[in-house]
Amino acid sequence: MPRLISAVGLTRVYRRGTRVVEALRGVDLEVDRGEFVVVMGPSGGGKSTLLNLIGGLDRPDSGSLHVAGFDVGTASQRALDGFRRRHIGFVFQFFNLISTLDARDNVALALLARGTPWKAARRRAAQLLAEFGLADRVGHVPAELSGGEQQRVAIARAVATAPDVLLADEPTGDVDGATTTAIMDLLADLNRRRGVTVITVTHDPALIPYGSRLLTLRDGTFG
Amino acid sequence: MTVLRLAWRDLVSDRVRSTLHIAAIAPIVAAYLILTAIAGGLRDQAVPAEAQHIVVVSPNALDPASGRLDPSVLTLVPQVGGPDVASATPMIFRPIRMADRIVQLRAAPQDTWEPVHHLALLAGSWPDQRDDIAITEGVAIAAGWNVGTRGEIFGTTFTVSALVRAPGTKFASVWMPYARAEELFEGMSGFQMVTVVPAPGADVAALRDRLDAAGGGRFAVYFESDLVAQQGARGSAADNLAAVSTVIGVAALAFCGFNLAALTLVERRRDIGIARVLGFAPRSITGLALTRGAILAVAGFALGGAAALAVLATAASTTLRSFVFVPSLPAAAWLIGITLTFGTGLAGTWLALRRAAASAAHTLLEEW
Repeated sequence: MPRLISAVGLTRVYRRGTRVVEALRGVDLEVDRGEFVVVMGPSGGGKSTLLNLIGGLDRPDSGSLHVAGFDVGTASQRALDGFRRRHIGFVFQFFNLISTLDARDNVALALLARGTPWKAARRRAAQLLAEFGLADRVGHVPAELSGGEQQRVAIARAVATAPDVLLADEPTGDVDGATTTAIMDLLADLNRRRGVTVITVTHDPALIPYGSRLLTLRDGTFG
Repeated sequence: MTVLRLAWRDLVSDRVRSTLHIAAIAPIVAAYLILTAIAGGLRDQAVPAEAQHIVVVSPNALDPASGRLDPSVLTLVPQVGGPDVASATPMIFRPIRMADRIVQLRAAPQDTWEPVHHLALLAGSWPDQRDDIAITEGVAIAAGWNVGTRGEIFGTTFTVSALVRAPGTKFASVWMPYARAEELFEGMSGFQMVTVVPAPGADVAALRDRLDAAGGGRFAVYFESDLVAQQGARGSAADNLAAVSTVIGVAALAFCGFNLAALTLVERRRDIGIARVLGFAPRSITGLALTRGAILAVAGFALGGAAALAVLATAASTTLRSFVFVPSLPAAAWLIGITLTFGTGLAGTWLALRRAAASAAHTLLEEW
């Protein structure tokens, strides 16, 4: 059975004015379905760049990258849009919810992007939020929610389309200790019960126990 | 349908900005429509007049109503014109208040109304009672009066006995027999105009020059058509002003539409990034933004149009010195207005959005 994620010799170089930053230097990575991978490392080590590449938000300068059978490295921008809709769920440190939409519509947005009809999308979004303990918060905009609640909405949005991979970029970076535990328990539960493959990058060693595998990314390479 | 719902929900959720956006568009739309209506009214007033008639008025009078001719003019004109003059009739020409409206009064001998001034009876009957008057179509439209309407002029109640059609600047006037007007005003303002009808076959240009020379600056002599044109020049100037104002309004609308869209975009750049992360294609995001812009344009145009109609309804007629005109708003003005509102709003949205929508999602999120 092929790997869910297969990366060989991934490099990504950014040019900021005269400065050249080698964010990834020949990274190899293989992830199977159902894994919970924790990627640790210092800031600027290339963690977010790796997630952006796996999620189809960016393209490698060289190397090959296949996710769920899709060639991310050579796909067109339009194909990458479709790839994200079908295979990827993102969770960010700062939640990245749309401030003018309530919790239900934020979650429904992911389904609408996929072409789900309006009513069905909103119904499914409300169900998911209820499953995540937010039944009474569906009509609230992000500003009316706590950090933990916002992150749960963001996770609900990320899994609404039943993605193959959930990519979490510092998912507990903006919440307190108790909320960190709640969010990681939720991700672990999704991984265990729904079989969602999770890759999370973090600075926080407290997240290590949640992973089935730990990787350390430093200066653009796995150490 | 989903795009429309999403755009609507976004606008409703962001009420303050949506309201400000509409509030910015509406006054410009209202100003455009009101100016266009005024310009249209001024244009409508300029109905062609008798080309061959000669009129004698006070010199350098911006408005004929503000002048007063010496009574000797009535005897001087036939003397100077001799057989070239068929008739010379005086006219009292002044703004009056009737039933709380300022209207233009013209008083001329009633036997000249049809042959000299070319009034045509549309309804009712020519005045045959002491306090009967006639009104023209312009006054009927502007004031909502008709045959049988009664109103007080200078402390006396008059009755509209006739609705008439009149050419040129006479389009919107109240007509009264000359003798009754003299009696009413007790000769306070004399007469303001003499209408000279040239005899058949007369050299009217030479007659005009002779009369002008005889006046020696005490009065001015024009062809009636020239006077109409001169009076119309003010209308034309206002028309030009309206056109300039309209151009400025359109430019303001475009600038406003673009800036509002650009400002929204700066604040919503991260939202565009989120939508891109979720897999929305740039085209979908542009479609959503344009739908949003279209809803705002409709709302802004509706509000501005309603405001313009309300303003025009409270001023069914407008008096520019002694000239009454009726603002008119043809369908074309609405069409142009809504096209401009949509066009500039959507172009502004598109111009402001085109680069951001196509940017890589992670750069939009990083920039925030």
